[in-house]
Amino acid sequence: MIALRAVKKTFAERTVLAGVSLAVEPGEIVTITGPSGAGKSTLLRCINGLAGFDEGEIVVGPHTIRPSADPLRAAAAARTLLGMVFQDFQLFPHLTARANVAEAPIHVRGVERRAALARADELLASVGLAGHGDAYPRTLSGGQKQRVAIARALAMEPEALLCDEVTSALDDEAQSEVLDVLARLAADGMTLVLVTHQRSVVERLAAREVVLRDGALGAR
Amino acid sequence: MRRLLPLLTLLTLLTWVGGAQAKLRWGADAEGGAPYVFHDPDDPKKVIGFEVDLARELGRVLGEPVEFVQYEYASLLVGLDRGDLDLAMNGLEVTPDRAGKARLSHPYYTYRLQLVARADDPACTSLAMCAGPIATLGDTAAERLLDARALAKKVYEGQVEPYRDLGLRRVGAVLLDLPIAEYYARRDPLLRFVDDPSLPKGHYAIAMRKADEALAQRIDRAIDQLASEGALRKVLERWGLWNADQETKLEVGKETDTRWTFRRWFPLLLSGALTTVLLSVASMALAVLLALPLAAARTFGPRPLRALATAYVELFRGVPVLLVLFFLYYGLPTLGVRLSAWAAAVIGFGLNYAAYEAEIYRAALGAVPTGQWEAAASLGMSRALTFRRIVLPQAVRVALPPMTSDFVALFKDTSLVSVIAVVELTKQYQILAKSSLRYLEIGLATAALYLAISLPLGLLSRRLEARWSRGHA
Ligand SMILES: Nc1ncnc2c1ncn2[C@@H]1O[C@H](COP(=O)(O)OP(=O)(O)OP(=O)(O)O)[C@@H](O)[C@H]1O
Ligand SMILES: [Mg+2]
Repeated sequence: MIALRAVKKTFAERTVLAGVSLAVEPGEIVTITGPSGAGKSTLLRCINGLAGFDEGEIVVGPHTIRPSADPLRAAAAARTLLGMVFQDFQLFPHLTARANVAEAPIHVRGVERRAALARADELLASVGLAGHGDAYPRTLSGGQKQRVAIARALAMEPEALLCDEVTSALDDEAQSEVLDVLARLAADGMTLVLVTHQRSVVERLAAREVVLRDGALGAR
Repeated sequence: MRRLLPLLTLLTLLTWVGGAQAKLRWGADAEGGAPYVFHDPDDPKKVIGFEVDLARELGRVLGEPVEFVQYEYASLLVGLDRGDLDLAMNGLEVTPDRAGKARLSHPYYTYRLQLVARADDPACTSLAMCAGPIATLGDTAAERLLDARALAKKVYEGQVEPYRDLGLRRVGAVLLDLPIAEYYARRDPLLRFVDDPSLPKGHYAIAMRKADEALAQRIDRAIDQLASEGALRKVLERWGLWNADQETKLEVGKETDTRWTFRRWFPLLLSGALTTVLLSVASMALAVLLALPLAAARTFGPRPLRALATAYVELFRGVPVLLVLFFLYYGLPTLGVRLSAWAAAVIGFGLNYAAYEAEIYRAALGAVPTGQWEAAASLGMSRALTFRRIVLPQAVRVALPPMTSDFVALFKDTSLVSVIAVVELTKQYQILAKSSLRYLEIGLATAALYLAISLPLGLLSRRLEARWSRGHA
């Protein structure tokens, strides 16, 4: 589903990824751990084009991403297969939970508005937020926000979810809410690539764990 | 008491010293005031003019020096009341209104209103026949005549600009007292004196405090003496002002009666308020229109475009808007671009405020976290779509409160346009208050009008803010 081949990435003088290779099978659950500043987020962001890389290639499904001055554009096709969830949620504050979820289907895919909103309600219900569609993000708890963010990513029907420390900003209860949702997605066959520093995430999702250290990946 | 004694002595001494210098303080405005009182072009430290000569003659007859005090024309009567001046002599026309506020002396000059048109405009043969607005000065007999005949007017503060704008075809004619026309327009080949017998004559007199009746009687006698001696005639002849009008005695007080009732000044004040509102709205619209591409260029543009936008913002934030207005209105005609006063005002404020609005928008765009761009990109939204659907709505919410306070500031700043002869609310207040001397009531009404507009505006902005902040994270 996702393959990195000898990906190199340098910021100014600092080499963050020194030829990283990784293969993720469809339906597989992989966690990337490693010391702070190792480049875990950077690696994840290279996969959907939020960051660029200097050498190597990344394959997502049938699409191949090569180094480019415009990484967003280079990864545009790959991005249609990928959803992303962030540590700090990044919900759209001026839109309700339902509108957050329906925004991209309506304006990117051209889904008819009423159908998109109905689908958004279904997705919200599937992450345990039935009845919260009219709530604005600021009125939701951290765990609720992160579940809206997951529903928002799912609305574009991705084949894989990229998760960057999605439970790190949450208390224990909220963490388990979010992990329950991710576990169910995994059980349904969703491919998950998670960056985390929490053992609980690795254990709860029974994931394959790879460690990023000194610019290279290794087993734990 | 023992402690008070030195103080009393000091006070007595001061009074005595003050009394010893019993000069008569005569107020007039030398700012562009030819041929009445003005700065000698050859020696700008010196004031000259026919009223300067007359003051010297008065001093001689009274046996008491008359000392010139520079005082703004429109505030002369206030200066008397405040005790800054003993005499006001500056082409003050005898009107019932003035006679009610001050003690007016016997007249020393009989003026007539002189209509001046362009030499190449043969249609303008009388006041009624001249096209376009008629230029004049504020609080003069000429202005009151234009009001009385309901003619479109344009009110200036200086005596040079009306004739200048006439040459530039911004006004159809100029109506001012003959001495002014003689001095500023007679030798201009582009201009032509129009003989309109319907124009009234009137008198100039010296204004004093009503309480100073003794002084007033001495001044009256002195003027009579100068007239009978022929000294007055000599002064007027020296300035080319002697004419047949001076020999026939006019009946004093024949000028149009103008009482400043509420019903007379309030509609004028309202029209000033309307001008202020229209000017603010038009200027703000232009500012916003210019600021959007400026902010976009500064935020997203390539380097040269960004530098240009930055230069624009720095230029207009660093230059007073007053200078911009002067440049647009008086400077551009030299380059062949003639803007109307309204166009100059709207463009001037629009250009100036665009710089401030652009900074507000830039800050507002910057206040939306990059995470929002990334989240939208990860959902497959293009940059343009993200800007329109995600970033702009959040930026507007950030920009709205400072924009509203800028609008209120602009609303008050519009009072600057009086320098290019647009009469808005503050200028209208000055004109009305100075001619009626009802500073208090007209001032309160003016403040009420300003507040009637700015308060609801503030309320509206707070409402919008509250409504839009519902979604704030
Ligand atoms: N835009 C950038 N410009 C320059 N350096 C950057 C940039 N983004 C990240 N870096 C640097 O690259 C290195 C890797 O950053 P990254 O965020 O990928 O690490 P991380 O493993 O996710 O760390 P953490 O566990 O703290 O989230 C860090 O040293 C960081 O300072
Ligand atoms: Mg990170």
